[in-house]
Amino acid sequence: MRAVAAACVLLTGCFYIDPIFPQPHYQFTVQPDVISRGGMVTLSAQLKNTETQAGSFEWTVKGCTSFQGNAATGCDDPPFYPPPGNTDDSASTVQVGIPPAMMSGAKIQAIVVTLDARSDRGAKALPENTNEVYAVGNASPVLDLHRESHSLAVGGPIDVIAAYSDIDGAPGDVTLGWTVTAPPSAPAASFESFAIAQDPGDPTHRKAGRRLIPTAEGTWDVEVSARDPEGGTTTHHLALAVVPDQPPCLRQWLPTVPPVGATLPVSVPTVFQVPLVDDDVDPYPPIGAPSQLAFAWSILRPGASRREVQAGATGNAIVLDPAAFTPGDLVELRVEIADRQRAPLPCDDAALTCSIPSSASCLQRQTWRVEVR
Amino acid sequence: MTGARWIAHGWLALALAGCGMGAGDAPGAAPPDGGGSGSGGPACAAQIDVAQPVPVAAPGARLHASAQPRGATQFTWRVQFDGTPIDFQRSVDGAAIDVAVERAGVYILGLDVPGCSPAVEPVSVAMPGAVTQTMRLQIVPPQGAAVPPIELLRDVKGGADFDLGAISALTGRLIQVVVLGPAGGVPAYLQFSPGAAPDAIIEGFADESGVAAVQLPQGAGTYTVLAVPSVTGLAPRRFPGWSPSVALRVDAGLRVSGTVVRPGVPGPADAPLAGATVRLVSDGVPSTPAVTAADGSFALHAVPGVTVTVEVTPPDGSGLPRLSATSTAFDLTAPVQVQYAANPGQVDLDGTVVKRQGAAVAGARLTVVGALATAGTVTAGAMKVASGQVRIAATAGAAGALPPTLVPRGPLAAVIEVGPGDRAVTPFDTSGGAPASLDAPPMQLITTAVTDGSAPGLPGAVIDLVPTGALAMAAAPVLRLTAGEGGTIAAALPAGGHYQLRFQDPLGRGAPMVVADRPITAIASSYLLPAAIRLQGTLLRDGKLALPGASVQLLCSACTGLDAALPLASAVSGADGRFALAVPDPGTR
Repeated sequence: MRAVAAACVLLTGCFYIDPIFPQPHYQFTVQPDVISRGGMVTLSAQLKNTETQAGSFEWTVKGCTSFQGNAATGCDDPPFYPPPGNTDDSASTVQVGIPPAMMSGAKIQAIVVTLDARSDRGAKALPENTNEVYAVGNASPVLDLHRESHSLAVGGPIDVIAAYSDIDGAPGDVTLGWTVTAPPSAPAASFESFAIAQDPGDPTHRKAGRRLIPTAEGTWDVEVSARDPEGGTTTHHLALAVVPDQPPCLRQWLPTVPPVGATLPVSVPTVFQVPLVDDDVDPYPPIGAPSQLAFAWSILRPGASRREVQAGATGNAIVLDPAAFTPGDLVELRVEIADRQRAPLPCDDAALTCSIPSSASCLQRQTWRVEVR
Repeated sequence: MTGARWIAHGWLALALAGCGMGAGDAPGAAPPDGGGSGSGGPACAAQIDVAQPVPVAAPGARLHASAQPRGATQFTWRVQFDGTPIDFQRSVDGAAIDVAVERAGVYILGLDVPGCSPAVEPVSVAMPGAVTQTMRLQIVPPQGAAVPPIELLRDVKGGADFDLGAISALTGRLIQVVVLGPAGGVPAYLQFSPGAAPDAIIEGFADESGVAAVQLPQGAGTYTVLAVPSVTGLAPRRFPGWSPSVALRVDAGLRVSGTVVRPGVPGPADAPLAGATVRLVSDGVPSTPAVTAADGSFALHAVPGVTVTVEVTPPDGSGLPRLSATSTAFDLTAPVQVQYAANPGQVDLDGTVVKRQGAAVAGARLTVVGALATAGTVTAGAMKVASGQVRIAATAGAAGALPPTLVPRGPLAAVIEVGPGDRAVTPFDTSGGAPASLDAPPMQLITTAVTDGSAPGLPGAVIDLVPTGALAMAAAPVLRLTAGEGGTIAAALPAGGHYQLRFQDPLGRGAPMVVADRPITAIASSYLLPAAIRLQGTLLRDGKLALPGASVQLLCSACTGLDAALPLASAVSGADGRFALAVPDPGTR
């Protein structure tokens, strides 16, 4: 009778067997291979032996003060991941920022990663209660290089500013190494440090500066290495494409210069001035650094054959007092400018204006023809 | 365009602008990047609204700012103070921020909204008890910008850096101005002084046909115009309340005639003074110059005025002072009679030897200067005593001896130029006659330093030495000295000279300072520049685009004459239109 029943069941297909899966397990990976304080790690897990390979993942990461023989000691009790209040993260991949220090302030030397993974049916994945330990290394200093200069011209100062910090150390313990590489056959150049005010509101960052005065055109390379006491080093380069110094250009003059054939009547003491000069190295007014722009004023008195240089009048303004002349006198007042190259002007003395690059838009000489009234 | 949506409908996909265009609207042909306008620029401009009043700096004080447009989905804020980014609190939707403003100064708020042009809003947070001071700025846009100059008077609060906000420089309108004389167009120099900003002078020249093209400010304002014809026989004229549509008509004006006489040489009888140049200044408008004929007569052209100054420049070699008399009672329709006084007589310097430390100085240039309270009289309906100014120049010969040179008798001063830039000032009393020699003391070395109170001084700071007294009368130039290492300055200056000292630090570490007329021996061993604040602002062309390359000068607001025209500090606007000047700190109460 039993045999009959069993045969009947088998033959009719009414028999159902639910498949039985083995207990799931997981594999997880940590990237990058080398973990440093202040850096980010990506924790990824994959479930095996599950129907859908979906599930929930509960990550915890603790910081520890010691790492020896693949074991960590001195771990903080509360994990730093997940952050307090954030318990909903059940993703298979998480990104975790490694704090530079323990709760005690000591440097983190290792992290312990614990994963509690479950399949979507709630089965706990193997291995259970396994703590993976990873060494945490030194964070190299953070370095940023930039230049502050009006231009990149031969002879003009170029301030190279290094802003640096050390996420797992004091910025004051970081040492900087500066190297400048000149273009081939360039004469020796000055590359001196200069004082920079530190931001008292930001003690975690420091700045240092060197002033390069290039001596030749071409590409100059400034290399700066920031090294912390543990040997962590960050090196950056700053390429400076230095161009030849250009002549200065008068950009504004007051009062207006009369057109050819006309004269400017002056009946009261009058300030003649050059408020603006464009120059790649020596602009006026100066920008950031003292300018070596030189103004030279001269006057051609009525009946005189020679211009009289106003010795000592090296500023951008001069006063013409008509009382020093007789009403009706014609006087020529001239200003000429030169940057630190002190290039001589190529023009005849009679020329009212003059331009080194033979471009009317860039004058180094201007002349007012004044009629004393 | 923000919020563009793609709707797939079969093979057709249409981009619909999210800004008010729904699926039922005509889809048009807007490209996916939303650049339907063809301008390529952002569709909107972000804007920062700062809650008013801006709080005064204090613990717990907060500055509130909100963003426009409000409907945006993302707001990126930045706040800088003193060049450093600082933290702030943002509202839940990110459209507003609160900034703790415990420190006074300029907070630069920045806002980025996707699809909109960014906004930057500098906000000045004042110190408690800040004193307000009016400052005068002159802004001259770059040449060729077609923007007339601007003159500003702005209240500046002390105690901390201050931002003037946006300053709009309006594009001018090119006006053709016509100067007409009795026979048609007249070449002339023109000076336009806007009624709203009299010191924002605009200059121009009318050509031979009398036409000048001038960039004048926008608007319906009037001007005071000074026209100085370049042809003889036409009087300069001032046109108050001038409107640009009106031609400037000049004419001969009032024909003023008269004579210039001097005491007889020798003898008491008056003698005509030939070769003297006479000019009038009538309410600030100069006349044409006239040179006296052999009989001392002259005729010039002037415009009538209330306050009239008559000036006579004697011919070289006469030994007479320049003569000047000002009166409101002169009647220019009456003959103008100029009478040089008989006193104080004259001295001839012929043969006087110019020496330095006992040695004759060949080629020395001597300028005898002095002021005389009474030099003569001017009568034009009314009589007025004229003062005199002595400015008589002579050049010594190879042996250092002066040629025949008449100078007035009396207490005068001599400015001796031994060589280029090498001057000396010495008292020169000719009351007792001409001296046998005249000593030019050597240049005197002065040392001083410029500091802001901190070691090691202010290298790069400058002092402009503006000559005063005898040096000014002898037309000595303004000298510029630049501080070297440690802020020190050493320079050789004319012994006996007086200067006004104008300090400025181009790098803005201290405020500009003016030290009034003093002898070089009284120049102090160091000068402490006053505390400065950074006065900042943004120049915008027509209120929109940054205006780079404009000069911005701080000028004295309470001065007259040259002191009002000499800049105290200068700056240039950068690519973003921003400028910064170091100005004296008005302080706090």
